[in-house]
Amino acid sequence: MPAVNLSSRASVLADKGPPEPALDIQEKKLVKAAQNGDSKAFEQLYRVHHARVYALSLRLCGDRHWAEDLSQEAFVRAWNKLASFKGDSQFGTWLYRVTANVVISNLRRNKAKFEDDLDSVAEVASQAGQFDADGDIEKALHKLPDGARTVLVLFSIEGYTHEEIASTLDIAVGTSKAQLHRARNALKTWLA
Amino acid sequence: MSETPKTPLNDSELDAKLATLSARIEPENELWPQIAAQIHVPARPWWQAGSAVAASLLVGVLGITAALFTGLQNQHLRGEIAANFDVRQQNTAMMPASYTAANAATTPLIDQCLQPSQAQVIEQNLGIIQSAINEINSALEQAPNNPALNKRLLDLSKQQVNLINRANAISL
Repeated sequence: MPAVNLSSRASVLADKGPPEPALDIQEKKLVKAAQNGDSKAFEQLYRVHHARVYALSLRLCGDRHWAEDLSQEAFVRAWNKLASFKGDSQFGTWLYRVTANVVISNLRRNKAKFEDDLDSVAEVASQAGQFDADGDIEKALHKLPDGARTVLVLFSIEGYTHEEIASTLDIAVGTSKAQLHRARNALKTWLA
Repeated sequence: MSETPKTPLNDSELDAKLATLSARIEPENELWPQIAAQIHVPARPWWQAGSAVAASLLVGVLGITAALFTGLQNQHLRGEIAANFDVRQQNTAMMPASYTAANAATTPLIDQCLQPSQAQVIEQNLGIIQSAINEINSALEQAPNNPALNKRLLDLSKQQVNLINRANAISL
């Protein structure tokens, strides 16, 4: 069996890339205004980032309507925590972390298990013959159990380290690596 | 004839698939209205919020003026009140400093229309409010965008308006 390249970090998103300097400056102005209570500035930040926040929410929770609710909650949480954003990172990076935390805490409240579904990942993978993703990776992602999908999305799409995932999900680093390994193997089979 | 089993993707092929994922997915519904309804907008700076309070205060103070004009025969008193609210002052009465000044000028006139005991209570309360406003204004010089200070200033200004309105009602 070929070794899974656990270090193959994503930053893989098709249209993900560093922001243009001019946009960066403009965004900093908007963030500053929003921190001073300007909800119009915050709305502009929402317009820039909402589709990315929604994509992350959807891939983590797997349900369109729930993802909308979670996206709204993420923006409200971000507004309430704006004072804590010091500008050490890009606003988007900070916002997506807030979003991930909101979604994960909601998943946890809804009994999602990030640690204990290793068997279910193997079980789902073993049923690959009964599942055809038609090459649709979004469809395949949604087929993964919560824990495996969460780890794969955070590691391979959002660029978290295993240590960060372990801390965020309150699981062992080894569990995070094992989840990723099984999730990738399942996807390789389903997308063949 | 049995179907040939598919060969799983290798790591590079899977990474290439993951790379096709779009970072952005548009939600089906507009999310902003519900977000806007849930976010708390801090109190506006006093120079914005103060105009609304000043307008209320102006109504209250002008109410007292009207009552005095209709209820008193003292020509000298009417002249003093008119001097406090001449056209020039009304043009700037929307500024916090101006309504505070108008209030200060009107307080002695209220005293003449009330029982001494009533006037004393109102004066004491107005003095307490004004002291607090002065302290907050001093603090705002150091932190003009502090939401808590601006909120407190707004609240105190409202208390000032309410107290003058009550004095107005008693004097009628």
